[in-house]
Amino acid sequence: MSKKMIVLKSSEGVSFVVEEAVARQSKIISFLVEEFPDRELPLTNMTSEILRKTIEYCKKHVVEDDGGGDSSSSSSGDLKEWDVKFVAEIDQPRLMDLLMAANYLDIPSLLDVTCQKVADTIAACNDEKEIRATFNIENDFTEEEVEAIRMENQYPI
Amino acid sequence: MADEGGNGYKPPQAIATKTKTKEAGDLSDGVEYSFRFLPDEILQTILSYLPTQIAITTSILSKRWRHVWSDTPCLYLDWIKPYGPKGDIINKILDRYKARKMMSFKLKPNMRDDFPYIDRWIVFAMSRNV
Repeated sequence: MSKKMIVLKSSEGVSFVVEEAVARQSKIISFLVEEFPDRELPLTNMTSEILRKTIEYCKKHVVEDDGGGDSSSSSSGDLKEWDVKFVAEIDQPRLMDLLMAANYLDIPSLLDVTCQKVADTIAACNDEKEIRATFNIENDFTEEEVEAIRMENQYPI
Repeated sequence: MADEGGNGYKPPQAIATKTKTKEAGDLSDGVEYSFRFLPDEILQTILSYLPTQIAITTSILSKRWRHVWSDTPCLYLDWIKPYGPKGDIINKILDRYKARKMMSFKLKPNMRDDFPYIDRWIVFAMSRNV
């Protein structure tokens, strides 16, 4: 029996043919598939690059319902390791894009793993200047405000 | 959730376009691909992966980040090297904490020194339905 496929279209108009079970890890796509069966789903705010990455993640995480014992199915330990490697290989701008894609498509596990990576990056920074530089956050405080917050935050770690 | 300062979510399209047009090393507005486009809930999810004393340090980043930590639905208070009266510090942090609903509250008190505070912390946890 052949698996049901659906078509996702990126912002550049590139079509990706994906198994329905893979795409349904997105709660949004799951909803759209029910509402608009047999229709191509345009994801106009996702680039092909990010859509490809998102599909790669969903393919790895798909749970085989038919118990077919797919050789690609992984134990949870392996999967965690794979996730860590998956986000480690992505540069900062694309990590943020992927995080936004996970948020937009509502893929909780991908959102978790990208948020965790961002948290690790914040924790690895030496000070607030490094965090601002890493994530391009503009400091819109006055010097006095910064000093007041610094005083407020003085907790011995 | 308060929507201050135009923090509303914008779809990834805008960001994708911006990252593409950026120049390497350019720190101007064009590369502001990051948190600006994410709702506060996502920033809170990120901070929930950090020990609270690190999460608090993000309040100095910008006005947007000023109070994000205090609405994060998780607190994780664990001082590896206690320095001074730890219970007092925890109480000060709880005084600044604003989230009404919590998912988790992890606290590693020093049972000998913090004994007088334990009741307050249990009441706090119960008040947030942890």
